[in-house]
Amino acid sequence: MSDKVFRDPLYNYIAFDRQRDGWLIDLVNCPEVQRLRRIHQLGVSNFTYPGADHTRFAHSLGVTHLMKLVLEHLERVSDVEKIKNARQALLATALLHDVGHGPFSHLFEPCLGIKHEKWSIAVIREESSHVHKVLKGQSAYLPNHVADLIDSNNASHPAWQRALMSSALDVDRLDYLRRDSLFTGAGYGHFDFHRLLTTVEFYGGETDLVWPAKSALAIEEYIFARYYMYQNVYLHKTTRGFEQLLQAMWRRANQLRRDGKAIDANPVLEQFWKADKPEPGTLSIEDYLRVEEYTVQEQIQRWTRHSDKPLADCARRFLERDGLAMVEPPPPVNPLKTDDFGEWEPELHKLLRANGYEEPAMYCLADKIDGKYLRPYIEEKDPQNQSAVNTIRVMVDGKPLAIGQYLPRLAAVIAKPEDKYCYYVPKEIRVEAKQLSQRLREFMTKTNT
Amino acid sequence: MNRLQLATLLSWAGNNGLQGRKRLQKVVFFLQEAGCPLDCKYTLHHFGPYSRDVADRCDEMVTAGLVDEVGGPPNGDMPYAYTLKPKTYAALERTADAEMQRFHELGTRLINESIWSLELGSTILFFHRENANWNLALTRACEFKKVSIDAQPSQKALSLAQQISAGNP
Repeated sequence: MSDKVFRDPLYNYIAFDRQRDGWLIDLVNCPEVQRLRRIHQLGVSNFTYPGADHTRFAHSLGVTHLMKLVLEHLERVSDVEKIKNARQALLATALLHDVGHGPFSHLFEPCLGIKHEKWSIAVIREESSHVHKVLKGQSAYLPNHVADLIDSNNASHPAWQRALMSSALDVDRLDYLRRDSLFTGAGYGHFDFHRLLTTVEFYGGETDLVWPAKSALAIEEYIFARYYMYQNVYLHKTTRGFEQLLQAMWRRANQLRRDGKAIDANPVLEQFWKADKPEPGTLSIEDYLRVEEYTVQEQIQRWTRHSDKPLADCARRFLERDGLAMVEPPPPVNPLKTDDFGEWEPELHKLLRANGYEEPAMYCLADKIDGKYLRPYIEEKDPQNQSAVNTIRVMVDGKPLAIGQYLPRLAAVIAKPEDKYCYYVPKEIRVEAKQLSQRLREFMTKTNT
Repeated sequence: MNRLQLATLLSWAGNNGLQGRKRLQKVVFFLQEAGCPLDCKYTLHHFGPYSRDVADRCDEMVTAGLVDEVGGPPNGDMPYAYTLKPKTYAALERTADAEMQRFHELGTRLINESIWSLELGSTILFFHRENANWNLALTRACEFKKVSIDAQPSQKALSLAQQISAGNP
């Protein structure tokens, strides 16, 4: 029997053995997995990088392929039975880890008030879902095992199983960094993933994962790939600006709704809004999965004709790619309250009103970038607290050593930086907003001295 | 956990500072379980519950020059210790976190608790969150940490976990 083959731009062929892994092909064909074809992997990054139209589906297949490769390697170098026993659960986890994603991936989570991980777990545990039935057809325990591995609070299974899927160096990241690099055309994100997958070893009673020192340079490349991709793609100011615009639009709609005003919701989103809390248990899996990107885009299209001017204007801006401009605020007035910029916001609101913006809160959008995204690999410095989950380690003289200690030159890209704030305002007031920020900065410097 | 919250916690440790990153992890875990709104995500680790959020906030404040860090590798015999810089004490005087202050007494007690009680107790409490059964949580935690259930330190750790869970520390 021939393999089921998917052509993939990263790996050329992703092949599943129909005899051994026919169940996995059934899982791929489930509607919940096929839905991932309609979810952009990078949200609205295609506003900045026009090629970034790849989907969660292709990424999920890629992660499954990499999981298959690493398990083949581990079968060769360790206890075959142990790997074989976990194989089905790990392959299914790789394929299904993103099955609960909503429209535009992570970007839309604050709009809907959801966490995709919770929904992935719920979809897998839901007895009526197609994926649950396929998993259960293989083994009664399999749905729970897969859901447990996705649940970061669950410690029921050996740590190495979760570490392969979710840790400082895991198959999820190995796929998305290279895939996002390829589709954005950014040109960063290259590293020797094959070496990383085929040199990983068990450590500590076979509970933990480490790499041999000979893989240190491949790890270094991977860390730099992460750094470059965050700096250039994931945190791109244009993309972040549109993310803020979309979220502001949703906040506005929620506010209008709370005020008892009609928001012209389409039927799918109306169902969503009716739920007290959009969480598994209060909203059905079926209703949740029905919210797709085209549902959201149709809603935004409707809002362009809404009587509420700010909502209609933000909707138009989003569809026409007429974004806001980024300005940096002055430093916070107290170093312990990093989101308190004193007079900055009130003054910015005055400026917006003077320029005809009657609802300044809609055009003065604060964006907090957590420092961990500015240095996407940050290791735990205390050896006693280290594991594959928080630190990439190489074996030196029979002991694991954090990569940052083994290669001290990495210090500059792995130190935890401060969180960063940006504001997005209409382009025509950008210059005045920058001058305002500068004036407040100088005032603070004078006051402090 | 924000800067103000961590600075408030470290101020309770006084001039000697808070000794050890593991202690910091467990103290924050217990405070959070007692109702303190620190909003840190914890996962189970070799040494019990561990939060990347706590480690990151601490490292970030060291980088920003708000917290002094001493000790730590290379030999590993001196644990890391954290104290506030004078300018951070000054900033703390200009603002206060009323919610955090409600946990001052508990926080101070936890900072001075034995590291083993913190480590095993937090692991027991972590397992208890999963199934709300103290016997099962103790058994799983002791298996996880490879220690005897009946040993006195295990019972002491159980007692600490139960007190925190009952909101009666």
